[in-house]
Amino acid sequence: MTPTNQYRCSSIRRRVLELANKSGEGHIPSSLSIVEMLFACLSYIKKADKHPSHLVLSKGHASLAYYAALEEFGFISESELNDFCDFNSKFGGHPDATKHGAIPFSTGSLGHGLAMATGAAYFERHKRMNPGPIFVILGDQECNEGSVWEAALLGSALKLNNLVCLIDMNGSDSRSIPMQSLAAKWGAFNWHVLEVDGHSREQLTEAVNQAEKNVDLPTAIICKTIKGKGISFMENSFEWHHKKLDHNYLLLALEELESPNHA
Amino acid sequence: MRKVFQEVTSRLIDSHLNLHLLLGDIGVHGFSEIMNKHPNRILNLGILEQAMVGFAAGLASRGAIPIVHSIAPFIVERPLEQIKLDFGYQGLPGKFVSVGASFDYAKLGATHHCPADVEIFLSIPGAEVWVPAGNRDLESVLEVELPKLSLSYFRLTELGSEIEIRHVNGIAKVRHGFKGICVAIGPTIDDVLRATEGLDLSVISWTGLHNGPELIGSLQSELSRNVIVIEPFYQGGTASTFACLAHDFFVRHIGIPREYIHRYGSPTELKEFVGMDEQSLREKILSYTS
Repeated sequence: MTPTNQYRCSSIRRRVLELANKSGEGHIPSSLSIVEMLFACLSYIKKADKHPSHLVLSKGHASLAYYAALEEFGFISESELNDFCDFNSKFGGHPDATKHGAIPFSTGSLGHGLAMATGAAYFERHKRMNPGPIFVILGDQECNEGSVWEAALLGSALKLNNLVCLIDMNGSDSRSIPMQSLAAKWGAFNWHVLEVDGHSREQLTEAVNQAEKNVDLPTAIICKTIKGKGISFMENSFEWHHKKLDHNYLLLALEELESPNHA
Repeated sequence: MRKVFQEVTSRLIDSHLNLHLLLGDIGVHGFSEIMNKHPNRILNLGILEQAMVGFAAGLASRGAIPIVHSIAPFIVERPLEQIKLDFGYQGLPGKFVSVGASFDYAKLGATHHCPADVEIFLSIPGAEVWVPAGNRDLESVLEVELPKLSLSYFRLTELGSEIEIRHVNGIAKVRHGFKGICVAIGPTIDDVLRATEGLDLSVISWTGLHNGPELIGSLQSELSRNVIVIEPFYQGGTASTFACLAHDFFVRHIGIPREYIHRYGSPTELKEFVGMDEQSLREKILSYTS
């Protein structure tokens, strides 16, 4: 990762923490685990001059990172996001597509995003000259939902090679019903499967570029991540799943982000 | 009604490039000709209803108007959250067309019955609910409503009315009377007209069930304050519409009892079994108006 891109990912994390502290809301660890995934997708979208609606956040509770990344790439403004979760805000704890043009779908109830993205990808492929990929970010525990697998079946049956699903393997499923062998499961549904370190921007970029070259299959990128990545006291801690970040913890977290040892 | 749906939809798909049809593995034969003509806009997606509705919302988000077609319980009850969130919450247009109604699939048992569909769909803010009376009514409703940018539900049944009635916004005054008002919903109009023959009752045919305020407005001009609503679905399914009349009107609902039906036979036999046939209706209406 180039220093510039590393700095930009740190900026997204910093914004997540500051907004969570200010609003008293946000699923922080679930947001921190997908920062590099968002970065890779939005880098592609920006470079290809596509609309941000080509990125779907199915695990809607990670909205803080999603908004912060959209802001980092200039798709939403700082002033718009400053009032996160306020009464009249465009941006709440889960994305609301009726509030801002950069958001393609309202998510929050898990298991909805992939099917909607499948419809959007189908439409793009049949109606546009240069459709470009539709990226969807799913949680690992979200893969418990049967509707995910219905949509997975649909995506491969319709040969949607412009559909790219990134699965955040941050271990959220480990205390309930673990989704073991996810790569084999997606492969069994006839998806092109790639496995990457979900915090390696280089690996993610390469995987996204590979997905684009796929001829007749959708692509599933299994991303091994750390829930709460970058903040030691949050990493893999279920306690922090939906916990308020007070001022003292904010300072501790920001200190870690500023540390020269922070990667 | 299925044939009318197939004819009108095929015609509209030909002329409206933004219409897409998604089939839940029913009606495929009836659409085979138009499927060959527009293979990218007519898809048989099989029996994955949650994904089918989500997929439809994805199409709608890009500018399409999807028509989703399956048997009532599998298109309304199973993917309800997808209809509520992916369409209702997001304000996307979509057309949900069901067959089977309350118990058209009488021989298949209660897994294929859906007497709750109308009540469920009416619970989605902004949704329109059409319960056409018969074929001609269905044809005129579909012609106008399918191309509209709205979220709509259309309830088709094999027990459709044979009478041709011209509705305005889903409401038609069919008979004038002074001692009560029968509001016959959708296909019940034939039985209600026969059941009230010789009685001094107004009869209103009601098919656009989202137009409750307009219906209530028309009731205000009636002399009687005694209203009987005849519902071809669970009794009281439209009760919320009439709640505002509680002070001035006396409203009763005749509909299907809220019980599972463990019987088979024909739809007509089940109609008699639940007391929705002409004779049973007359007895109930007489008891309410005498």
